[in-house]
Amino acid sequence: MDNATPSSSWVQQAVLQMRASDTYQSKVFDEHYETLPVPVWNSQQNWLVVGFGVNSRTGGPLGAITSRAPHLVCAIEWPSAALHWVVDNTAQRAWPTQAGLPEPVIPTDRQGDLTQRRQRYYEALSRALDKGAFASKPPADARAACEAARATRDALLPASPYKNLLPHYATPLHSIDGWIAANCG
Amino acid sequence: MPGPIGGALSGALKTAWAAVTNLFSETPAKGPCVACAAKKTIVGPAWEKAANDVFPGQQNYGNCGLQSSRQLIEQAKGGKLNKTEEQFMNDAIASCGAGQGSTPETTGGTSAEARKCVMQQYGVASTVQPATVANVDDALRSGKGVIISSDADTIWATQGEAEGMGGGGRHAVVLTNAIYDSNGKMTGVDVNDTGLGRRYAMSTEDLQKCLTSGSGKMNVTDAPIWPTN
Repeated sequence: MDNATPSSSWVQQAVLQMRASDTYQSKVFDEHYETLPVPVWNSQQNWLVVGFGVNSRTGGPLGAITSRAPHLVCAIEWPSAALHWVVDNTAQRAWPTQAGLPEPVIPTDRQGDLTQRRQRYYEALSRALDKGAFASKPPADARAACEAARATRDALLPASPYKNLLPHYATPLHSIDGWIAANCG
Repeated sequence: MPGPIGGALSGALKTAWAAVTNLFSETPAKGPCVACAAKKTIVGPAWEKAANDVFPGQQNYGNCGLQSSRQLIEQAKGGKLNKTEEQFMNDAIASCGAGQGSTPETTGGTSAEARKCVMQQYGVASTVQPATVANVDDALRSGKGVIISSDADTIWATQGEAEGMGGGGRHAVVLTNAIYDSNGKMTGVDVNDTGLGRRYAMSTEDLQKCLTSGSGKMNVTDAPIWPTN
C-alpha cells in the first residue's frame, strides 16, 4: 500500500490484502470467526490486530454460542500494511486481553446493515490512524484526532453483531477509551 | 456480381463466420450478450432437478465448505457418493487438512484451497480464483460449479435472518445458476445453502456484499457441470 497517502479506505484495503495473503488462505478456514481489526500501539509502532478462532456456530444454527480465544492473530502494521502472523500456541497471548474488564454491550440504535456499519468503522479507524490517534506520541491536530477516535469508538461494536465475540473487544475498547481520556481532555 | 472465386470466398467466409458465432455462443461472455442471455435467462427443468437433487439439506457439522464441495463432485460425476456426511468429512480431514475440532459443530472447516484439494480427490478439477462478481458471472455463464465464501450474517441477512446467528464466522455456499436481464446483465444468482438448509436466490448487489465480506477466494470447476436446459 502507498505509505505516503493513507486514504479513508486504508483499513478496508489492509483487510483485503490480509485476506489475499498466502498465510490467510492456508491457515484460516471459512468456518473460523474473524474479529474486526482493533488498534494496538506502543511507544514505537501502532498496528491493527485481527484474531481468528474456532467458531462453535458457523454454518448453521448448531450448538450453543461460546467464546473461544483466537488461535491465530494477524498484526497489520500502520502505515506500511506489512503483515505479522502469529500462528502457533502464542497466538492467544498476542490478542490484547486484560482481566477484570466488563463485557461490552452492543448499542441497540444501530443504523444501516452490517456491511454499511462495518464500512463506517473501517473509515473512522482509517481517519483516526491518519490523524495520529491510537499512538503514544500526542497527535499534531488533537481536535481532528479526537473526533476521529471518538467516531471509531462509536462505530466499533455496531460493526460486529456477534455476541460471542464481545469479550474479545473489552480490552481494545478499554485502550481506545484510555487514549481518548489521555489526549482529548 | 461476384465471380466464381469471389463466390467461393464468400461461401467460405460465411462458413467461417458461422463457426465463429457458434463457438462464441458456447463460451462465457464478459459483457451483455443477447444470445447468451436468451440461452441462460430461463433455466429449465433439467437445471432445477439437478440443483435440487444434489442439495443435501442442512449440514450436521461445521462443514459448509465440504458439503458444498460434495454437491459439485456429485453433480460433476453424475451420481451420489456412497459415503455418509461424516465419512466424507473424515476423509477430507485426513487427505486435505479440513478442520478437526473437538465437537461436531467445530469439525470440518475448510479454506478454498482445501476445497480444491477435496474436489481433486474425487476427480473434479477446479481453480481458486479471486472472489469477484465478474468471475462469478464468467463461471456461471458457462455452467461451471462455483463455491463462494461470505460472512455468515451478511449472506443470511439477504434471506431475512436475524443478525448474530452467524456467530462471527464465515460460510461457504454453492452458486448453481446466474439470473440475467434481457440485456444479458447478471442480476442475481441461485444459491444452495447447507447452513440454512435452503435454496434461494439473491441479487447481484447482495452477492457483491457477500464476496466483499468473505475470504476473497472462490472455487470454480474447470468443466461445466450444470445443465443449461
